[in-house]
Amino acid sequence: METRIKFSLLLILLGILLAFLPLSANRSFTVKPLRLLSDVLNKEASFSVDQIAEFMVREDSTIQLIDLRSSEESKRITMPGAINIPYPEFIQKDPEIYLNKKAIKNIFFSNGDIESSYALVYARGLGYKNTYLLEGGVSEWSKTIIETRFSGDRITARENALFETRKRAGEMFTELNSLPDSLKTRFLESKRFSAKKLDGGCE
Amino acid sequence: MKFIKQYWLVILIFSTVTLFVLLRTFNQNNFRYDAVKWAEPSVHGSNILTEDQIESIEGEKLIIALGGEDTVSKPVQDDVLKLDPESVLEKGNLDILRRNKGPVILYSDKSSISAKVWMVLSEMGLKNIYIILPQENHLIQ
Amino acid sequence: MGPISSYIAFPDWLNILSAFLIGTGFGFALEQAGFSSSRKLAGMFYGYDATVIKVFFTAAIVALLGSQIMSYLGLLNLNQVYVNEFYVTAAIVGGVIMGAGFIMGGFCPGTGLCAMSIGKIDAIVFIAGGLVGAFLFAETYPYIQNMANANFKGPVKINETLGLSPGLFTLLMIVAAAVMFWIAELAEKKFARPEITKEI
Repeated sequence: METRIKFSLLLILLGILLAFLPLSANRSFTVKPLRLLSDVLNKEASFSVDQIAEFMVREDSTIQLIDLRSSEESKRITMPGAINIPYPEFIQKDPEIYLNKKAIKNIFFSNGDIESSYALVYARGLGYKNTYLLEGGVSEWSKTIIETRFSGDRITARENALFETRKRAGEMFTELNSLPDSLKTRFLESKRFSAKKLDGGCE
Repeated sequence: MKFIKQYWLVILIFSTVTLFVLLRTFNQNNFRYDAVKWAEPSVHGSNILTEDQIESIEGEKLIIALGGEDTVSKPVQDDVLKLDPESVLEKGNLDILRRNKGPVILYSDKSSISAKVWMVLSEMGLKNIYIILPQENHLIQ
Repeated sequence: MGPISSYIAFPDWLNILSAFLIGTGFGFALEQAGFSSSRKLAGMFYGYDATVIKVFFTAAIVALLGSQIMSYLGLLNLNQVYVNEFYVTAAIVGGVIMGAGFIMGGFCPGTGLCAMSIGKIDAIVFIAGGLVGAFLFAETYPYIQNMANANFKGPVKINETLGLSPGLFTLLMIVAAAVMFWIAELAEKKFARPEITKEI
């Protein structure tokens, strides 16, 4: 008899405490602020356009490009292999679906640096260490890769390799973006993640 | 007294849980609960100000130039505070940010730095923090 | 250990081991509460024994409280917890069938397995009946498919439908539980059957 009263009292008190908490379905950052800030400011959290060009030419399957621009912009021009998650959607829905594969490096990009920086801090704050950003975004990519020009008489072997990579990546990029819309959508759809549904429950 | 003796276990468990909950709620050095809410201004872009908007703000605005030689290349005005991005979270600097009665405006030559610092500060619960983009840096000189 | 293992990487065998331990704990709790006795279980329907509602409701409330508090303290990611999907027609029809079976047999699937494991013959027959039912469901599925998938509402949560915050909803549940337990005890006194309850 006694135990029941004590237990009920404890439950009621905890319930009252809970009623005052601003609970929501959203998560919070799990990393400490100082640690998060130094992680995201570190050079190793970002990739340059040349590094991405290298991945692209090698068809490296351990990286996943994530396009944070709006879907109209993404339909017009996009990167080979990128999936499009507009930035508002990325923030407002739980990014668990896209970011949970630990072996894959997820690389955010947008038109410039701003939205990819926000997304990087947000993702790393929630605990996803396998996230990075593309420095300079699409504008840097266009400047460096697409409009790359060879000038001067002689170049070193390393410069030559760099130039070749850029040219090849540029070709892949232009090829994809010159597909007629219907084919491009189908090509991109086939590369899309399907939302991973968690199965469970007493069935 | 008899009440406490009888119900000591209930009181113990309840106080422990309440203590943890209060610590979580009021810990200044932690991120706030509900990450989506504190990231909202970045979704609408309402955290980015133009030069005109800044000129017309009343109240004590505090402009912070983030970075050393490589990211803040032009010389700054006297009332602009120059800070290393990493040192923004040091206790003294955080206090300055929190105590400022008006808006705090972050600037850096590289917009990625100001964006990153903004997100971290906003998620820590600081309101009234804004960014100004490199194209609009006339206020800095 | 889904939600917690998003913070710490558990090896596969540890997941399965924890499932085994939790299952064992569940069976132990049911057995020591007396749920392998069909008389106790049917007592809920006839009114002379309110143990079922007390045990299960308390378990639900403790789980509710615990998961909410852990979610607030950042130890649990509630977005990863599965929420059953709501098919209105199927829930009603299935509920009626299951309720009838429960009263006739005196067991529900979980407690039936519990009783079967201590050797009760009526539990063995009950489980066999359950398997027959599952087989029939699979065989007749093409005919009942439309009904089974009708009125799909998705994974709904009550507090979202009512527009309450989860914390407030939990408090209401606790108060409702206390009231229900009190009513159940009144019923126990009213419908008492000494010839049954003395033997349990």
